[in-house]
Amino acid sequence: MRVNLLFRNSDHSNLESIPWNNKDLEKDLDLETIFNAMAHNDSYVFDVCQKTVLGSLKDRETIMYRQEVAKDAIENQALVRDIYATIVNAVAEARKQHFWISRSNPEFVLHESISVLKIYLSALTKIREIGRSALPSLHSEGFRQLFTMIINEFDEEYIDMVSKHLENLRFPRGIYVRGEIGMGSSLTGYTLVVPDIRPDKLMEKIVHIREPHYTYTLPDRDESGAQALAEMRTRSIMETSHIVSESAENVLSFIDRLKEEMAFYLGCINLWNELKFLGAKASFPEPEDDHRKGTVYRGLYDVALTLRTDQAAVGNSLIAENDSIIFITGANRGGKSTLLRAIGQAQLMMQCGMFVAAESFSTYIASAIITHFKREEDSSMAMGKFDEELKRMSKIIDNIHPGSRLLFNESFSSTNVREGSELAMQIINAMLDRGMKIVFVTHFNELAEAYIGNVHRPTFLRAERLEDGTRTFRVIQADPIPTSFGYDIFQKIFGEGGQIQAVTPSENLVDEHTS
Amino acid sequence: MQRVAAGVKVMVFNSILWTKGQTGHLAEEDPDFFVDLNIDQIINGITAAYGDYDLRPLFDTIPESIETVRYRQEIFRDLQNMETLAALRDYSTRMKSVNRRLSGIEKLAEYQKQGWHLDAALMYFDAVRDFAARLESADLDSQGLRSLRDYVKEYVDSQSFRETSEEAGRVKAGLSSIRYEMAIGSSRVTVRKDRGRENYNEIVHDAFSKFREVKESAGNRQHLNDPSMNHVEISVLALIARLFSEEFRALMSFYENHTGFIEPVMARIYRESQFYISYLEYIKPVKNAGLEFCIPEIGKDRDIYCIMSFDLALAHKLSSSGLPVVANDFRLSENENTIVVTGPNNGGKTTFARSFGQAHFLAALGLPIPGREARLFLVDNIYTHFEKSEDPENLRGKLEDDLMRMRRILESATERSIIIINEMLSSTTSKDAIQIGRKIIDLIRKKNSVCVYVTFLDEFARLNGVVSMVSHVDPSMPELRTFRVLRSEPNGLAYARAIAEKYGLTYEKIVGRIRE
Repeated sequence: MRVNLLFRNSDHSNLESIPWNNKDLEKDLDLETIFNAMAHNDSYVFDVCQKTVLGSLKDRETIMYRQEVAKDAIENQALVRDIYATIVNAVAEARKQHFWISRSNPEFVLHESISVLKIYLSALTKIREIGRSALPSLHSEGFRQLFTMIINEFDEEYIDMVSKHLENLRFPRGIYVRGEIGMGSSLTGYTLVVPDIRPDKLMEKIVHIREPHYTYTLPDRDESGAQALAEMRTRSIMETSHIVSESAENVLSFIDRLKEEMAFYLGCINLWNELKFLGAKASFPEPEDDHRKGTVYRGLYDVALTLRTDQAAVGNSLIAENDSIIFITGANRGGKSTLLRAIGQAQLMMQCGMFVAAESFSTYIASAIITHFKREEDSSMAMGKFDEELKRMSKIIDNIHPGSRLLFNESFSSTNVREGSELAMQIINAMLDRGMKIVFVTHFNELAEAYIGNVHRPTFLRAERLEDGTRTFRVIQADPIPTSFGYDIFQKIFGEGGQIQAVTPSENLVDEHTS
Repeated sequence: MQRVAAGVKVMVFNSILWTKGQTGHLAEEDPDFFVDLNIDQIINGITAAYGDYDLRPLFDTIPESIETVRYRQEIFRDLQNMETLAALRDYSTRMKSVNRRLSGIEKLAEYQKQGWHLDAALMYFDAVRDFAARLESADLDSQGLRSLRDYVKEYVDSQSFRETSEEAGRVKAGLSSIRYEMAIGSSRVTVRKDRGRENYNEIVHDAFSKFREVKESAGNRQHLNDPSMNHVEISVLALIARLFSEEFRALMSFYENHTGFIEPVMARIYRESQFYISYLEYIKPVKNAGLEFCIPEIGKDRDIYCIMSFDLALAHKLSSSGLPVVANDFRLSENENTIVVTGPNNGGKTTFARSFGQAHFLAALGLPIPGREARLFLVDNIYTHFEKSEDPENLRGKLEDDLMRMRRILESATERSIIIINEMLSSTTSKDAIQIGRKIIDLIRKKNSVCVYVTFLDEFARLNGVVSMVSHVDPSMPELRTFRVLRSEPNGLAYARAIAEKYGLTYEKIVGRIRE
């Protein structure tokens, strides 16, 4: 009895796979804005989407499996919403049955479990019928096997049989047990035997004549005696209560699981609708197993920014055959960080089986997605900014393995260019040699320059700035602009009156790579 | 001479702790040095789970005769055999259950009391019989355990033992075969002999099995064999006894004929075995953490050494945390009597001094000691003089007190005593401290007691005739203390803290750190 809308073949809890750096990812990639759009004010949906998106998949097969389910969900939105609402109602009703009753009294637990099971069974019956009528229009393996399973396992006959037992377990004629003599002559080993439901008076009389029996009757108003009898009943039904309450818990866990997996697809529907409403494009990406396939995207944009500004953002396109290291350089506030975030978001959304915010998107499946962004606000008294950056970096090293994708945003810029670049090169070289993939946003042009012609065949992107200084917020494929700080310094020292004429480096000289 | 069960030949043997049975008195309180050497922590740890046995006096008392020390060492050596230890442990565990079953039964209702008595007796017979068998097949070298083996064998083979245990078995079998059926209503219980109805739990279990495959049963199904009874059950038990009268008559008769079934020497061995078991239990996690223990060669000579000695109290504390414990060697040859320990703060000086004292104390009790290999002498007493941090007001008074204490120590110490001094003279100027300290070391030398003197004053370590030991720092990683204390010249260097590749972010480091 498994839901299997998120995984084809397991009841994997994706809680376990929340990465160690989830807080950094959320903050650096502005994921909360995305989760909010998915949740539509349902905090449960928020939590589920959060952990599902962060719990990146590593295998293409499961990603494609989810994509199929997500497509079905988008095309059959009422189905997803009806089932989700049915579950929410049943759970709310069941909660009313949990009074203040102590969970440690098996008699109460048994009664409570019986009531709760009845509610769940009727919810399952309803879901079965919703599924039965939707089945013809569903194409995904996930949805089809789920409803087929529910239809087969919870047919009318089975539900009736279970309901009858639930009635018997209220013991209208007393509790019958078999017992033994245990340690210290104790009455022990109580085993529930089939109770008399409708006793045949005559038969009982005959039996009584044949077999010796003795009856202990409680004196009137013997309260401690009544207590003692209740204790014996409790011990008699202990195991029964356990079986029934465990069943109730398990049905609940199935229903919870179904609710959880539905919630993720509900989140997908919500975000999809929102983007369509804003006129922004979304598509299902093509995840690649082969890390040599490079990165290709068209019309990629920052989902969070689009949601924040309520308008479709500028899309970027790239065909990078080599994506071991991608440098993004260029003007401040020119869209470098925005593109970096968009890439990170798309990678995460792709790896949880969702659509992405682009006309098309294809890249390899990263074994881990890591961000190292400059943190203005983290410069505390206790630890210098540079120290903090290095410490974070060191922690990353402890947690990555070949095939990770690392997104750096102005890393090591808390120190000077020379030191920062030197350190960055040590880190980049080591990571490339150990099979990482890197996207590095930096205003250290000389760092990027040092990689021109590098054996790892870097891809260079640059935030576009027109000749008149206008920023287009497009990031194009282009080598870094060589810069010299010499003049600025000279000018600072010699003052405005210096006789030397300033030369602005021309962007056109190095723009031949622009596609 | 002990009272013994009928049919058992009277033998001299009656103790696994004392060669000739316990003579002399046991100490009534901890010796003074316990606190300074953290031995109180060790003994607390050893006896924590053994409160019922009143073991503390055994650990507080240093036996006077070297024969007793060797008697115990031999037994510990036998117990290095896991099977022998398991036999002793098993006997002890089962005797504990026997006593638990017997405690407080006088207050119970008739059938219940007799039931507990029977179950306790059954367990006792089993425990003794198994113990005898396991001792029989054990490879024993110690005088103590060999005598014990002979004693137990004779007891088990006695006619009374055999007959009583067989009777108990028959009575129990009768009771165990009883099956009854109860119908429990809201105000009455009807009992009859079992009619063999179907188990309803199994039926319900099968009907609901579909719901149960989602996640496996949380396990831990509560067993329904709680032997306590409420007063309705006790009344019902009386009704059941009427349905099965023969079985319950046999129960009563066993109780009346065999009320006190535990043999006195077997009871004594049970208590004494806790001395061995509790100590071995205490050092087990320390051993598991990779530290070694040994049974020292013990004599009256002063040519002593211990390889890989460590502070047992500290090691026990650290064993749960997984932090490493540093072991040190010490050695004093015939003509040496004073070790002066110097070195940086928190470098392991005091710990070294404690482990020196502990080793001698534990050895004197006949216990295995921390270390790989050792030869020690049998001490008559240990004296400690540790800096007390309180009372900074009256320095003059403090120095006076310190010296008074030191004088008392010197008055009672003998050449079989150990004196451990830890930063004694900090309440005076260095110049004075050196002058006074030199005198004290001289006095101790004249007494010919063994002394460990911990101090931050290098000058002491340079005195003629003392052994200088220094707590060391690894020059390549000065920020990490090694806690190693080695024989060497004192050195008063200030250890500069070197920060080398602090974050491990060089190319080589990163390449090495990234896991596959």
